[in-house]
Amino acid sequence: METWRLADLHAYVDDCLETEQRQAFEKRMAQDPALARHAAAWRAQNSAIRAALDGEGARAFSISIVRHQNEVVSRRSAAISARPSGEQPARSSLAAVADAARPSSKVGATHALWPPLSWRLILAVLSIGLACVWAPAATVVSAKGLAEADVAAFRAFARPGVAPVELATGDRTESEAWLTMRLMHPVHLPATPSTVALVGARIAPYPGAAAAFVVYRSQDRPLGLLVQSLDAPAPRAPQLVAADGGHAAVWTWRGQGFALVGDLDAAVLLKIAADFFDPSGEAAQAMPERGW
Amino acid sequence: MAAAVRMLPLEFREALLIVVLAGFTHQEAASALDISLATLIARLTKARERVAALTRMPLVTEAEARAVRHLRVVK
Repeated sequence: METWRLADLHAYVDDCLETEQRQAFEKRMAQDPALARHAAAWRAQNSAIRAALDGEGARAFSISIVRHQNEVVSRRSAAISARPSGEQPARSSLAAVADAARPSSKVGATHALWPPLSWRLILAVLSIGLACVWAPAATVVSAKGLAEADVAAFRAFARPGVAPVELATGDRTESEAWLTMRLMHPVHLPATPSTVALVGARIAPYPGAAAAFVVYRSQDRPLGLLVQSLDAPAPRAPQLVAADGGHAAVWTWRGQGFALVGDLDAAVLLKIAADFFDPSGEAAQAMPERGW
Repeated sequence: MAAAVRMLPLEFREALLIVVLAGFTHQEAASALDISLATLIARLTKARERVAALTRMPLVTEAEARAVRHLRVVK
């Protein structure tokens, strides 16, 4: 009997087998239902990952990979520099990495979603730039950064045909626990005003660190609340901030930044944000306002 | 699903996403990440098992998982 390797199973589900290899593997699966189910399950997982991380999510996740590739380039460059002057590498390391990073023609591949390496490097530079802009001291920019991230998340996750939440619940405590476990730091959600209904929560991309994204409904329209931990926890009442052709109501409370976005009139959005911020005076008593 | 992937250790997340999202072949992914093919396969295995566990969607029964685990990386 032919010996199959775990690598072959991965290669099959990732469409890395040549036609003959694929056909042989499929014959093997026909004789081994457990192997076939395992392959089907991993393929389903691949599809679920692509569906979940399409668009903005994929962009956020790609950054760490690009950084890693840059580190590889740096390490190889350092190694080349350390060579004796007469010794030449067989091949340019940068070229080798660039070649390696270029998606080749996978057999049967239908999901080459990544742009070229050069574009990815530009993306990495932009992400680093965004991280610099998001310095805690630049408080005005912080509000805009929150607003932009929330507008992007709202457009990515609250559009028709997209499941807006990963955890569907109307329970604020449950949402806090779920977000806290996944983000690995405490997440405190404001009390839900009577004019809105909690729909659920999900993780959203954010430059440098993932953020909590909580979905509500008001007047039959979705509202997206982005929550991010801040280094500068001074509380600040909601204010409207323009971002990417939209606007968000942004405030801080309990060491977190909040941005609320929805397809609502700005005055209505701000009123809802004010209700979130301090429905009963609790927040103002907990932390006196000191500005951004 | 996105949260489950986000919770993976960096090396597992990179291995999984560079193959699944970026469409790299295994050899290309190993080269880009500067690791051996065997290491990539090991990371893909861990990543897929952890995502399945985190999403609480058992991919296969335990018996089936054991049956496939006997398949070893030989390179």
